[in-house]
Amino acid sequence: MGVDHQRAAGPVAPGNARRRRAGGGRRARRGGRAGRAPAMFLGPFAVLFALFFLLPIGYAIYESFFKVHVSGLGLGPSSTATVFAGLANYTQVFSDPSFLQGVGRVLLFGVVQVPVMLLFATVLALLLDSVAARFKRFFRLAFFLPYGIPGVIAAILWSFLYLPGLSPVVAALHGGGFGSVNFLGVNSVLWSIANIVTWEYTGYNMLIIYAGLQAIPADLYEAARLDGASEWRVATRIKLPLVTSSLVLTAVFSIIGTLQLFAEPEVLRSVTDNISSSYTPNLLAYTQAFTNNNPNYAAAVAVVLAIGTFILSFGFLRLVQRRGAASAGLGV
Amino acid sequence: MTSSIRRARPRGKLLLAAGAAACALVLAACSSSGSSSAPAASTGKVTLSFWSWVPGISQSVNLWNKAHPSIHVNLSEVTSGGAGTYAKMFSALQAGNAPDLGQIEYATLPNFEHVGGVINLAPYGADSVKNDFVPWTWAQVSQGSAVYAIPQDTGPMGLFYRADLFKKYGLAVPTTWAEYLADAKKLHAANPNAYIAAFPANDAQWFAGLAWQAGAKWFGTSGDTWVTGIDDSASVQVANFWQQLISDHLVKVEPDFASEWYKDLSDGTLLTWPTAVWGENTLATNAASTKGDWRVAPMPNWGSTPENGNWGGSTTVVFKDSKHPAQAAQFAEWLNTSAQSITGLITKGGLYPADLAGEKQPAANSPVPFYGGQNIWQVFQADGKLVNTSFKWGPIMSTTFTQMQDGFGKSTGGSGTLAQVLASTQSQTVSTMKSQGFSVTSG
Repeated sequence: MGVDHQRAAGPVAPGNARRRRAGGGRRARRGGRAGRAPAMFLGPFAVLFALFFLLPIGYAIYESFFKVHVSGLGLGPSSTATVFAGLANYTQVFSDPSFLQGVGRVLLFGVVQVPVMLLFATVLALLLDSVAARFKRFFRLAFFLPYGIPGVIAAILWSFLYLPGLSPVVAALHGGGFGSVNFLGVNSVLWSIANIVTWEYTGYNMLIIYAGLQAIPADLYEAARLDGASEWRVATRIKLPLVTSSLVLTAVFSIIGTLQLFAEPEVLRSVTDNISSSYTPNLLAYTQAFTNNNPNYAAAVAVVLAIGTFILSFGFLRLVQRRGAASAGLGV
Repeated sequence: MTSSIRRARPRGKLLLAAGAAACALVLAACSSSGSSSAPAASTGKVTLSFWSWVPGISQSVNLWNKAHPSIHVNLSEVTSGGAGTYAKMFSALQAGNAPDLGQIEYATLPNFEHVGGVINLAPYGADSVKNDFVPWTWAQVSQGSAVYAIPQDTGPMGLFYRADLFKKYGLAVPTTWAEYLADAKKLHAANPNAYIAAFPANDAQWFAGLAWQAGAKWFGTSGDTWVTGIDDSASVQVANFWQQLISDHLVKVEPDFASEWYKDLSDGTLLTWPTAVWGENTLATNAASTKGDWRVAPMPNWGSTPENGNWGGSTTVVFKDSKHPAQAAQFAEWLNTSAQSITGLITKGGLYPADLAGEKQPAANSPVPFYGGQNIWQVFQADGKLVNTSFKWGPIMSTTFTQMQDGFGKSTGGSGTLAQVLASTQSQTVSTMKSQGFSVTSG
């Protein structure tokens, strides 16, 4: 917004303008019209943001401080009342074994699934970006395609590959002498879900990393090759360090997605008994709200989950940034 | 009305996540279409809104609208209760714009009673139709002198079995559960890949029907206090029986109404299905290739005096927000007792009526080709008369079912027995009720 003003104000090179804007000195002196313009541009966003983001979150927080209180048999209109509960719902969340087990489960899931998926995504992106790659457009689309399939549909498709009586995979493993593999067992079902999630999101993460690779100036590669670097060294010494920010981004997205795991376990619930109604924190909130008719407790679970997600993703960002700064020798 | 839920369930359940999530996003929109009643005084004509998921119920509604020009019923065909409509009803009640009339299953009715969502119909002459209905249904819709709903359909239980395979393996149709166990053992010895039945750990309502038959009393009231006995001796007896079948690998543990289960019912892996009357349609639709192979026998019994349980069935209620409760009550009574209306509900909706005269209608009392021309309805008519009238549902049934299903899942996954699950469900239900303020004791 400020750039045009500054350009018009005098013969300032764009690079300088950017630096000055970052300094912020000049904008303060130009009040008046410049103050209205940002408001106009921000307006539509701010209204929608408030209406569809802040308001629902505020309402959820508000709801989480109440509970339904019943007296006696609870029959008839006057025996049920909504009362202020203070932090009662929150203390219940932290002492609810099903919530704690659900959190433990998604953390275990994340610790294993996120690194595996990002490793796949990085390898695919590097392969696509290498000079030797052929049919790049085709493979880029092919890798990305699973992301275009809604999570619920993907889970339904995969459920047919997991079900012992229907799955060609199970039949083939049985025929190949591997015994009867149970993809939906007590301990295996979590990793079957991880497989679906990996299948769905590897291509998406690959695309973000690939975009990061595309942004690397080609002269860096030329210089490296002149110095006799192999493709492997180019990948590990130039490409990977320069796409760190993309990797961090995909990691944060994946952490958020993992904590909010919902559609895949909910769909697989109809084909196996080994996924409980509180398998993940989101599933617990859903069950409480829509099966048990306890929206207040569900709101508390959702708020705790949101704060937990916030802490984890920003904690991860801080951790990575500090490391990055330290290794660059800047030491913030 | 459970029959349509059951039939809709395979697809419904898979898409449940998406549907419910979408509904959660537009909850305000979902619940804003409530009562559209016109003021009675201004025009003399009354409009009532009605939410139901019985297929083809519009036929009955149209009949009513033709015969009653001054009371117009506006039908909204909604998704089945558990798939989102109950959540919608609860939030509409909270917002004060619930429809005039709605469909609610027996097990969920006390839940709506306790949020004060349904109107007592006794002042509007509900007692005059009491004797039209199967006795146990009236016990379930009334609390003391209050009547909170009009019964619509029922799900008396019977034993569906593969007559052809029973003959092949030399099994006798069991009349007691002991004989059922003996058949299970004999069958498994003859073919280790065939099972007498499936144990659906995901379906606490199925288990409730079996416990009901054994004489369980999960809920009752004593003065101003709920008496809860989910782990009473009758329920434990049923749990131990199925535990033995599970431990000895005589039943296949798998979710019901799932694709694998349908396959097993079709290809002879499962030989029986103890289920409600509406199961006839589930089998005919999802195991069509077995046409002529299935028959229905009365439920195996525990003792010398035959008793039965019920699984499913719905009622019609009038919600608290209705401005015309008298007219709404009149419609609810007509819908479920008029011969014309019931014919439509049986033929289009596949309901088994709670109305005694309705059970005698040819549509619910004729041979069925899928069952080799057996008049299966007569089995259920007799079984329906044996349904234990003292079984009552509690006020937080959906929570109780969730707790039991989660427990059964863990149990069949290898930790604990079914009887232990009953004990933990009992203590969890009591503590949940206490934390909400209910007065409750363990029975």
